[in-house]
Amino acid sequence: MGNLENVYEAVLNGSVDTIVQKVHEALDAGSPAQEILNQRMIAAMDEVGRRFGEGEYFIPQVLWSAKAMQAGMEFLKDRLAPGEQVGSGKVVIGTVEGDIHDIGKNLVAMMFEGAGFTVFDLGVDVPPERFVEKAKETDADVIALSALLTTTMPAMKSVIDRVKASGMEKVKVIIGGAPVDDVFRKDIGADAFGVDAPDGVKKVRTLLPPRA
Amino acid sequence: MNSPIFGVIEKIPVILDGAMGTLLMNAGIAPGEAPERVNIDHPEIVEHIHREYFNAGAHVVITNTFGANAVKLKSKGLVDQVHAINAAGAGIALKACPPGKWVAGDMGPTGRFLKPLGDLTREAMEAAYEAQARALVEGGVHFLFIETMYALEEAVVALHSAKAQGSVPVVASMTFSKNKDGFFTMMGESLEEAVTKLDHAGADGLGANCTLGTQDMILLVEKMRKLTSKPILIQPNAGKPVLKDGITRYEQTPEEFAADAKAIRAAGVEMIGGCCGTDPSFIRELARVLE
Repeated sequence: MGNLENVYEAVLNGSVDTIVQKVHEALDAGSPAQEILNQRMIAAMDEVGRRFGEGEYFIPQVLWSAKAMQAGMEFLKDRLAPGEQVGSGKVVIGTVEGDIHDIGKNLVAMMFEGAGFTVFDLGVDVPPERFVEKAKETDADVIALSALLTTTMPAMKSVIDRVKASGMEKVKVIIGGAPVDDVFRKDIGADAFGVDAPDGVKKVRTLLPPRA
Repeated sequence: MNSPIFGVIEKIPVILDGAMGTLLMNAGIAPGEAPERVNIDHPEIVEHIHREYFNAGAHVVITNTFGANAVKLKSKGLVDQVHAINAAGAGIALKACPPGKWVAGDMGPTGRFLKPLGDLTREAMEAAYEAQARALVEGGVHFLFIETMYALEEAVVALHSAKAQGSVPVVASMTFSKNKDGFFTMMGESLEEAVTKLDHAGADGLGANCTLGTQDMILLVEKMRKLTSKPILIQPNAGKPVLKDGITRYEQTPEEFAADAKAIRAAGVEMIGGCCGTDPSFIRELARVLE
């Protein structure tokens, strides 16, 4: 258990220099990779999200934890039992058309990577059809849309309309950004709304079918 | 010092302008067009907005160069346009500027994090801010306005790069959120830390803009006034964005905004304008209430 606690703390403290060693020790002590990931690393990111929401953690702490998480997952990938996987899914992310604000979107992208998702970042001012094309091309599980300007919120609906028209059934759409809220999410028919970056990742995990 | 900002400050309070981006969109700028490019493609639209703010009672307008640094422009394929966009931005505002009024050269954040947290080197960031500041100063702005900074380290880099141009005063303004322990940047730096550091780093004026509405800004200014003797600049948002009947708008009216601005002024602020959600009608009311 001591080793597993160390993995948890290494993620929580954003210890990018020691996380791999801690994961290695946990594996040597006989813990399955899947257990290290789910019970310690993801649990630590949930705690990071809680602390961020409470104003105890700020962006640097969140990003260092995400980086530690990512480094630990890279290491775990090669040490899985047959049939196990650590990938959480594929996310296509971007700031919607007409909006060039990228700070929030970049944070969310980093948080998704930290949580084990493969991220395809389309950048800013992304036309609706580009989200759909990329999601088809990559067989994405999630499309994540960001907007900061109130004037560009309708562009989120355009993306959702196109996703529905495209017949892609499994892909979930999550929205985030300063002006959007859960009422707006319902209005435009998005699957989830993330109040901040850690919350967005958490919501997406609950949307997707559990992985073996 | 006989620099223009102090000439302005002599007749405090100084009224600044309000939001630019939304007005550009209302004027028919295509979604997706970089707002800074309008300085080159449609200077008359930007000039008209500046004139509207001056007519509303603003003493200072801020150039349309918020994102016109090399780091941001590179992501839009406009990296070779840094000088042209900033010079044009300064020129347009000066053209609209009546005698006895002023133009501030706007410098917003790069949108990236410095190494090791992010991937941007300090050298690249310095070079970007120096090039922008140089073009704005050569373009004739009366002072430089570094604004909406969310990272203290970046604000200090921008401040040093701007001060290195030598000839004009520099106001540095950061954006803060409020939590149970006080006011903090996105990076976790406290208001106290930010103001003290920027003051010592040579800022001629200090500010807070965006994120917070007028009510929170009153509380912020009460703390900020105790931290510096330099001029303070405040640009609140017009409350929080709210969604009503499928349309989003900021919740405050110009009258509510101006009433709170009076309290902000009373708490010891020399320069007041508006950020997101404000327009010339807010500045008109602001000028009426404060003068």
